[in-house]
Order: sequence, then C-alpha cells, then structure tokens
Amino acid sequence: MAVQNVGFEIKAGFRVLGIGIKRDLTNIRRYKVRLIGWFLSMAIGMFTGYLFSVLFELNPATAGETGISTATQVFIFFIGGVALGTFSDSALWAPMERINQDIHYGTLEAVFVTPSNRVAYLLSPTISDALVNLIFFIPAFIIIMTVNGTLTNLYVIGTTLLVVLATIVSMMAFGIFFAMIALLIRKSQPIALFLSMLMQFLCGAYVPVQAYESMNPVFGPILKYIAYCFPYTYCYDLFRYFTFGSQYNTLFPVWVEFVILGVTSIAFVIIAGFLLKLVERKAKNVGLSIL
Amino acid sequence: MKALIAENVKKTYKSRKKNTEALKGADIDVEKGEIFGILGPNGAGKTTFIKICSTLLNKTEGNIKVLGYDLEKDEKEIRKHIGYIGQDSERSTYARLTGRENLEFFATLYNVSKIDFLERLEEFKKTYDNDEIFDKEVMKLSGGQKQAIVVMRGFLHNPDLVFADEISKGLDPIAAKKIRKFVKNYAKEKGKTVIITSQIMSEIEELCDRVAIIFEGKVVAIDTPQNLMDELNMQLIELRLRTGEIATPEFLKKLVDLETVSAIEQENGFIKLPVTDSTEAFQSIMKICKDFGLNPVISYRTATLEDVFLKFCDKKVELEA
Repeated sequence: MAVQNVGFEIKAGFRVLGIGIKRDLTNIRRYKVRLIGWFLSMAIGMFTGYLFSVLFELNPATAGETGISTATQVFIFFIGGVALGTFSDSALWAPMERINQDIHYGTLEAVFVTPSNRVAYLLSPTISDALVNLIFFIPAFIIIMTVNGTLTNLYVIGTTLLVVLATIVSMMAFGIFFAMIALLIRKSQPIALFLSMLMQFLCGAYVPVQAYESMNPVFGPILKYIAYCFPYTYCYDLFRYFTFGSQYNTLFPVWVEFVILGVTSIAFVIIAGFLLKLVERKAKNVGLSIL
Repeated sequence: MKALIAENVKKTYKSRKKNTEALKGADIDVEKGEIFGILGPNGAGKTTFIKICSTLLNKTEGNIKVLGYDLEKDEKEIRKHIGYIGQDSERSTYARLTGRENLEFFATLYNVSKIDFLERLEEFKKTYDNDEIFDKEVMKLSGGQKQAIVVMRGFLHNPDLVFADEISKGLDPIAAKKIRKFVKNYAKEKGKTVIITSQIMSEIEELCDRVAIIFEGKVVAIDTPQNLMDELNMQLIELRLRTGEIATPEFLKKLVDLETVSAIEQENGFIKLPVTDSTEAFQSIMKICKDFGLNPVISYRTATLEDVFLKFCDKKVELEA
C-alpha cells in the first residue's frame, strides 16, 4: 500500500512538473519580447567572453595549474564560464522568479493550498528556462567554436551538452534554496544575487579552483576545500576538461568528479526538499512573504 | 457530519515591534451542504480564519476539524478535499494562458484526471453560461470573467468544502451577480459546502443559509440572516426633509421624547428613528411634523442585515442605541 502511495505521489509529481513546463513554454511563446531579450543576453555573454580573451591573459601560475595558456584557450575558458553561468542561472533563478511572481499576483496561495508536490512545482520553471536557453545556446556555441577554429569534433559538443545537463541537475537544489529565501523574505533578490555571485566565484567560474592554492597559500586551500563541497565546481571542471581535452588538469580523476557530482546533486535535492517543508511551515506560522 | 468545527481559534501575528491578535477565540461550526457566511469589518479576522481553515496559515491556539479531518494532523488530506478562492484573486491567474489552460494547470496540481477535468469544464460552461472565457487568454477577459475563472478554480477538483474570501470584491453589480449565481447554483446542485466571507450584506443575504459576524477577532453572532434580523426586533422610520426644510433642535427633541422612539440618528439629510411600535409612532411623528410646518417624505422598514452588522460592529451606533 505504501509503495502504491509512493508510486502515486511520484506520478502526480511528474504531472505537476509537466504542466508547469507547459505553462512556462506557452507563456514564453506568447511573450515574444522576452524571447528577444533572452537571445540578446546570450549574444552579449558570448561577446563578453570574446573580449575577455582578447584583453586578458592568465597568469603563469594559473596556466601551470590548469594547462590553459593560449588566447584561444582563454577565450574558451571564459565562454565556458558564460555558458555554464547561463544554465546555472536558469536553475538558480527560475524557481525564485516563479515564487516572486506568484507572490506578486497572489497565485502562490492558490498553489500552496493544493496537495501538489512543491519541489516539482519549483523545478518546472528551471526545466522550461533551460530548454529555451538550449535553443539559443546550441547554435551560438557552435558558431563561435567554428569561427575560432576550435570546433574539432562532435565529441566536444556532445560532452559539453552532457555537462550542461549535469549542471542544470546539480543546480536545481540551489534553485529551491533560493526559492525558499523568496518565501521568507520579501526583498529576496539582493541576498540571492550575492550568494549566486559568491558561489560562481568560489566554484571556479572566473578563476580556476586549481589555482587557489598558488594564488594564496593561507586562504587558497580553505576556499578550495569549500569549493569541493559544491557540485557546481565539478560542472566547471568537467566542462573545461571536455573542451580542452587531456591537456587540462582536473581537480580529481574525471570519473570521480562524475560520481561526486551525482552524489552531491542528489544529496542537495533531498536536503532542499526537506528544508522546503520546514520553510513552508515557518512561513505559515509567521504569515511572512507568501501569506 | 459537520463540514467544519472550529473551537476557540486564536491567532497572534508576532513581530519584533508588537504582537497583533487577529483572532481571539473564534467558535464556528458549519453543516455539510450549507452556504455559510462570515461577515465582519476590515481587520475583524475573517481572512485569517479562512486561511487557517484552508491550511494556509497556522493557528496559535484552538481546535479545528475540516470535513472530519484534524487540521494539524491531516493537512494533506484536507487539501485534497477543499477548494480555496482567495481575496483579490482576479489577478491570480496566469494572464497569458487561456481560461481553460489556467483551469487545466490547477486541475493537474489537484491530480484531477483528464476525463474528470473535461467533465468539470462542461459543468462550468453549463452553469456559467458563457463559453468564451475558456478560450481567450485571461489578460483579454474582463474583471468579472477573470474572477469567474478563479471561482471555478475553487470547484475544479470536486471539493466537498470551498472557502471563498470576498468573491465579488471590486466587481460591478452585474459581474458580481453572475459570480454569486454561479456559486449558489453550482454549490446547491452539487451539494457542496461553501464558507464565504464578505462585507456586502446583500451578498450574504442572497447566498447564505447561516451567517457568523466576526468583530475584533471574536464571533459576536451566529444564526440565519432572517433570525438575526428578527432578533434585532427593529422597526425604523426614516424622515427625509424636503428642500428648504430644517430640523430644528426643538423638532428633534419632540421626536426623541416620543415613548415609542428609542433613539435618533441624523445622516445625509435623513432622520432615522428606531421605534418599538411603528403604527403609534407613525401617527405621532406625522403630528409633530405638522406642528412644525414640515412635510417630509416618511418611510418605514424593518431591520436589514446591515442593521444587524452595525449593531454588533459599530460601537458608536451601539452606544447610541
């Protein structure tokens, strides 16, 4: 009986996820200005990556730790950061935006009075955002790689997309954490923005984690070990490994990173689901943001 | 079985600066199949009570059973069997989705099957008698039509009990009437229990089998609207002075000195006189008017729900009475 119930709950959860994605995609399709904005932000991100590669060079220490040295590699390093940043942003911000919007319009009460699965409800905007991002990302990524002569084979594209997918999955839990902040605090965006930036820097979006120790012998190792706790770190590392190939020195062996990524992602989703229940109870007690 | 039993429900909103007692021990019970009204001024605790019963807010104290389920232990089960129509809910739809898409979305949140959803949609179309609201994007609908979608959302999963918080707030009289008609017809036809809050007396009178009046967090009266009006035992004579006529203090004193007149109230050119014996009072008032050379329009009425509401909720009127 209990197994039947769990099966029923999972099925209901997937239905919620599905209808949420359908809602968001229908919304996006009917709101064309937003689509243009999406395309522009992706294009600007790519262009910024190109500018960075022209303007900056990695310092010798960083180059030694990572194996990245040429301008093209620096460009790919930054583009990788932008690409993963875009998808992690989807996972991080979409649930929070959903909550904020639903609070603003008073829809959240109508949702929270249902017996629906809250995690599924919060994950649906992440997936729909990621799908729209992919539509813009794939052609943009292929074009830029081709123009720079780095589009060597389909293996690179395939593995890149695999890591992008892993990124979305691993960041979902953090998206739920951000949504929780929105449930509790009305002006939640500055806090979430700060945490998001901190996490991006910490996990190696702009400075490789490998270089922390050589950059600062005191704080470097501490930061490095903190970064190890976040699945996001391995997303960046694996993304660069599959882009640069074997010349790039990963933090751990690739298969170990995949295992850590999988385990930490699942662990964080479980923690997020548990915390969400606590946060909902807290919000109901105090009548905070949602109510 | 009762649809709702609420005993000594208290709710205190705590903040750093001060605690606010929204409910100070509310007792309400609602029979199955009833349309039950909750009346009260702003800040009386109506919405808080509805939100607590519909699992959106935690109570501070008290016991609540919804459809036989304990509010604290069986929250998820309660959510499956209740509908909720929130205040200012007209905006709470997804504007770029059609009415049908909105309903389908929420039907899925309630895990309603596709077949049941289509069946429900047909019922709604029949009862509301306007198909176009289902096919247009909600942003292109009028306020009343949007509200209709929200009200239907509350009945979507065939709930046994629906909580409705000020369903016709901000709507024009025609749209409000249509919404009320939908709620009354659908609920009565399907045998649903509806608990509805409102500040519109006519709405409560038209819809509700029984009504509770909440004031400052407490239930101060609970009965059928007719019984409440009868209990007030009020007969009111109203005088409207014609242009150029003035109610002098002497004239007012003569009126209030009448044995059958219990109080006097002047408002917007009207003189209101609650009386105990309308026939006797009518004749005496006519005579006083004649003595003072006045020829006002005189009307007579018995107590309305508004009088009942004012008696319990307006301290000033109560004191004067």
